[in-house]
Amino acid sequence: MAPMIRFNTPFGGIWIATLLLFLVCLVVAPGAVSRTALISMLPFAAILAITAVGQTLVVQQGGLDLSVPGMISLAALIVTRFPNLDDGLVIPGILLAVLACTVAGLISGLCVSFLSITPLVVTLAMNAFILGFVRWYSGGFPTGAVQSINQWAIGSTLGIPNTMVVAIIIIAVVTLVVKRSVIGRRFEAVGANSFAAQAAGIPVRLYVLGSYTAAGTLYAIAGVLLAAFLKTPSIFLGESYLLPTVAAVVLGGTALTGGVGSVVASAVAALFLTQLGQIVLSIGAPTSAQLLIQAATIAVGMGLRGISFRAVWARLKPPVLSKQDHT
Amino acid sequence: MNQNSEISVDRVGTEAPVAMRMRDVVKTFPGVRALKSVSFEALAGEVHALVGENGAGKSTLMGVASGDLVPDSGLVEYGGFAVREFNPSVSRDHGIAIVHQHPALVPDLTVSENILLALPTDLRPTYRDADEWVRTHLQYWQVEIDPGERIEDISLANQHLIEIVKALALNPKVLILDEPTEHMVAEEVQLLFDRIRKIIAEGRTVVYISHRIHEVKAVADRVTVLRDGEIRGTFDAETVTESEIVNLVVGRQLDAAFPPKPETIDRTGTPNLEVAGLKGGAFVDVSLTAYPGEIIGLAGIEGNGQRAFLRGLAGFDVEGGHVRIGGKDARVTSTVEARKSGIAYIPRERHAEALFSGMSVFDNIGLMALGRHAKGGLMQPKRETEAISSMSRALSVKTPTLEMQVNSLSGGNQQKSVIARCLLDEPALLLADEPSQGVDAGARLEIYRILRKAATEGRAVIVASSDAIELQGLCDRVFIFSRGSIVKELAGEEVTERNITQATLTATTERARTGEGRQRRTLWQRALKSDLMPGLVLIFAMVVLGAYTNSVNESYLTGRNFSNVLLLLTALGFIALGQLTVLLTAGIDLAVGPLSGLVVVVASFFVLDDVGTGMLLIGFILSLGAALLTGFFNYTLIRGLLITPVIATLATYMGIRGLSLLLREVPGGLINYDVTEWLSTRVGFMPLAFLVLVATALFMEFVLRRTRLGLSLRAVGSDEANARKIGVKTERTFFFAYMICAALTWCGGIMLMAQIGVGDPTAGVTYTLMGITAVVLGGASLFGGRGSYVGVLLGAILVQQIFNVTTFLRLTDAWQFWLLGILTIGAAAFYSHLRRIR
Repeated sequence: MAPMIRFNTPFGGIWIATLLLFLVCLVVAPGAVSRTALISMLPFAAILAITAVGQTLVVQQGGLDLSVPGMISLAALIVTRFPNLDDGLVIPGILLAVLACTVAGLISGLCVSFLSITPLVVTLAMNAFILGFVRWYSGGFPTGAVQSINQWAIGSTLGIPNTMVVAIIIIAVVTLVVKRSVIGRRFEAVGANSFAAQAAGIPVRLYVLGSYTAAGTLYAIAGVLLAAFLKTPSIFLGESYLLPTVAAVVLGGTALTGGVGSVVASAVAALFLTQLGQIVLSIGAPTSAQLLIQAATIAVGMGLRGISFRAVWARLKPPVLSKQDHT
Repeated sequence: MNQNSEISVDRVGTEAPVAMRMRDVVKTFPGVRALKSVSFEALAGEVHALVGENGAGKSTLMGVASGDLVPDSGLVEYGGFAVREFNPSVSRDHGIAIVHQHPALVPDLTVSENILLALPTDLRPTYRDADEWVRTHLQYWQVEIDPGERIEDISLANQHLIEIVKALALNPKVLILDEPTEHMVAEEVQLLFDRIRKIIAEGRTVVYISHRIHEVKAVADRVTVLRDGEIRGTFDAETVTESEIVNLVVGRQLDAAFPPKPETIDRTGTPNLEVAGLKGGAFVDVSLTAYPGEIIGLAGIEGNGQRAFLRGLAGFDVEGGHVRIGGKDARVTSTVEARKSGIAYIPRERHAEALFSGMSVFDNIGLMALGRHAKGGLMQPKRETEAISSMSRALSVKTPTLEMQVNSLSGGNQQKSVIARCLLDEPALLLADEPSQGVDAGARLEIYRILRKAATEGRAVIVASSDAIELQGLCDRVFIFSRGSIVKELAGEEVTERNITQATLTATTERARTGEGRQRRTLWQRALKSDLMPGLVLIFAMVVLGAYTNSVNESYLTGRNFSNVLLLLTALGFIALGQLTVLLTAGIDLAVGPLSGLVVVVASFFVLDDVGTGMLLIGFILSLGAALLTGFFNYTLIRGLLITPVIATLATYMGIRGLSLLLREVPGGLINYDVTEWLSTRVGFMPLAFLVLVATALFMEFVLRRTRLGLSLRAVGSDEANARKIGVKTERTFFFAYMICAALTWCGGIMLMAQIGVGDPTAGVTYTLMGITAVVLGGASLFGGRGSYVGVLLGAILVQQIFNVTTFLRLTDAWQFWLLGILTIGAAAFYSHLRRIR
């Protein structure tokens, strides 16, 4: 089977970009790659990566999930508000948060696949709906996370932050399922060409439904980790997560038209974006610069993808007469 | 059978002037010589028929004649004028009109609007007269088509009539009709022939392309037969016989060595396939039985149900009937059920329905049989690799490695990959639609061998093909379809190319007038589909919501509250109108929210207290400049760099937020009090700005319905390719859409400035989502082509009302979000359901 990293696929570019970014850091801003800097950056990269994995699954089915902010806020709220500082209710709180977001994802998926409503509209409305719930349930005030879960989230295992461990496990499991299981292989085929998938006897709608549901679960995990890590999450902390997840998917190389994708590449792109933000902050630039740089990254990244390097290469190369049978 | 050149004698004198002459025209497509030095003449005052099989080159020849295609070499003359530039509009100016086999119409526009867009300025009716024009011109055809009906709601047959009306309106010197009667009923064919006779009586020319030899005999003066890109002769239509034409049309030798057919087939045992009374959209009551070892062929003129029947067996659009495979009941209610019943389908449209482009050959072949090579849901790579390798070897799929992307293979090897996918799943019934189309000669033979082997192994094999030679060489029995049913069965010795062609060409294929597309909709159904519908629904919702709120809290319906809501609404209103403009072209602008904020920030440096009028003006002009620049930037990213609108404007969204923060890190710059007051001027309790908003919406609605720009906006969003074909300047239209959106967003930003009164860098961001909600509520399609400015204005009012009533109902502000969410989903589901009502 194919190796994980190949530079000649659309998913190779982000590895090179990330590598370059860290090399540039070493030269320009060594402070941004010091051990302490990395340890403080990695949990955010991990949480963004988990969210980006969910977004990737939806994008692979030709959709786009704008309910990320609501989902993360909801999970963060439930995991703090439900236990309400009672250590014994942590596990039920986590389960409830995951359940709530999964159900929300399921409903989005039903609207997209069975009611044929545009993903943009469905997830936009779902986001509004969830945010309403968040307002109502929180009463307008944030609750702190339980001590034990916070301790765990800021802790590390074998020198790796626990949030990062969770992210790695999730990426590994999702990759295994997508690339090596019957379901995953069909899932990618549905995304690549839903008409051909239907002709081949695959229940297309179920796979579309599944992508939104699974994404909901992943957002919930990201929200729980974020709340636990931040200790006192603000009510609408998900707001700042929408654009970076889309950026991560796009930079990772998964086509917005759907089909073959790479959650690993999306996760690497999440690392890239988080580190980029760190550098910008470490040289003392304001938030504005950070936004401008993110925007430029997307525009440049997408602009480059629009250019067919193969075509450019073919023009530079001397022509070779090839013998192919014709259509 | 193949001695053709001897009888190709031109029996018509050439005293009449030549209306169109083509000499030594050569046209090649990648890998195919479609026209091999073809010379063709059409005289003034004659009907000249072009006859030939599919792929003989008829449509290519007429494509060159009408300027759609540029020939590799050769000469084209229109009445003495030698064509230098091949371009449809040049040909049109020289009096050439063509009726395409696939009508060039824009689906979301009405009949009248399509006519208005397609006709040149001097022939175009005015907007007011357009409906009358359409009615008058359609009167001749004795059909009732509502000029105000959208093309997508009109039957294909009537679309063809509209296409013909469009071509006739050009008063062409040469009219080219490409398979015009394919969808016509007998009466319409008669009307068409009468009309053709009238045209030629005026000394004009008709080139008539058709499959149907009896029609050609009836209408044409001369007949030219084309085969394999070469002229096989031109004849006097009166004297040439039907069978002479058939001989020339086919006249090919068996150019392929087919695998041997079995000597005898035992048709006494258990059949491996029994179909009884199967019916679906385009076929009725089809029954057939197949026995082990035989290959069944399906033939018929295009559109007579043979393909639909094959797809029906594959699980597409079946309405009833029974299928038994190997003596066991099989369900074909869906493609999933069909696959479970052991049916595998090789679609005709390889790229659209069979290939997973972007995926490897390995993934493409493995797809249907995944479950066979898995344990507990996980793939067993070794087993799968072995199975796929040996299958691809057996079918000799030529690929450097199995990891190659399937798109990089040749057509033949792509097709073999598709067949390999089907065979790997061990199907009991293999369905193949045009298995050798777009495949080179070598691979074609291999595909025949593969299909024969599958039959020998006991699988039932059914092949639909428009190539009679292929059916003769490959099939043991052939069923001929006409009008959705089997009309003839050929078996054993009878399965010859000649018999098949004869049977398909002479089958009585006159269509009966069916109810399809002709029944008049009830008033209620028409109302539901009308563009006004969303507006009425919204007004109803507003009234109910308002009445309920007032019953709970009497201070709701007061002039003061009204006045406030309407003023607040203006910002959202303008932004939503801008968003609609872009959505009409099937784009989207997510950056409108932050852009309105940027307008405030830019203005906050100039529009201050105690500054001169000049400074105020500079503030307005600079902020407008910033907005227009953003619009241009979006346009460049989307149309220039071809970045998807969502992503492009998402980048702009972030960039503008950054820019606003860069200009003002914290809120600052108090807006000039007089300007704020002036922007909030009220006439009675009615804010002036609201009246301007309403006037803008009405004006834009007028532009959308009654100007070329408006029609173009909807046309490019509905079907960009067809819009270009009928002469819409697409790039200019997209440019205007993004600029109008930017300008309207600027208006919204100015109203936002009056509301918040300070340069706040985070202002306006929420307007993106609120604007989209308003547009969706207003009934606009997110796929482009449809929407109404008035509807969107009402949508914006409802959104603002929701924010307002929650406070009067003393609901928690969570209700704002819930109501918004429920309304958006509800509206989208409702409207998408309405569009599906036919």
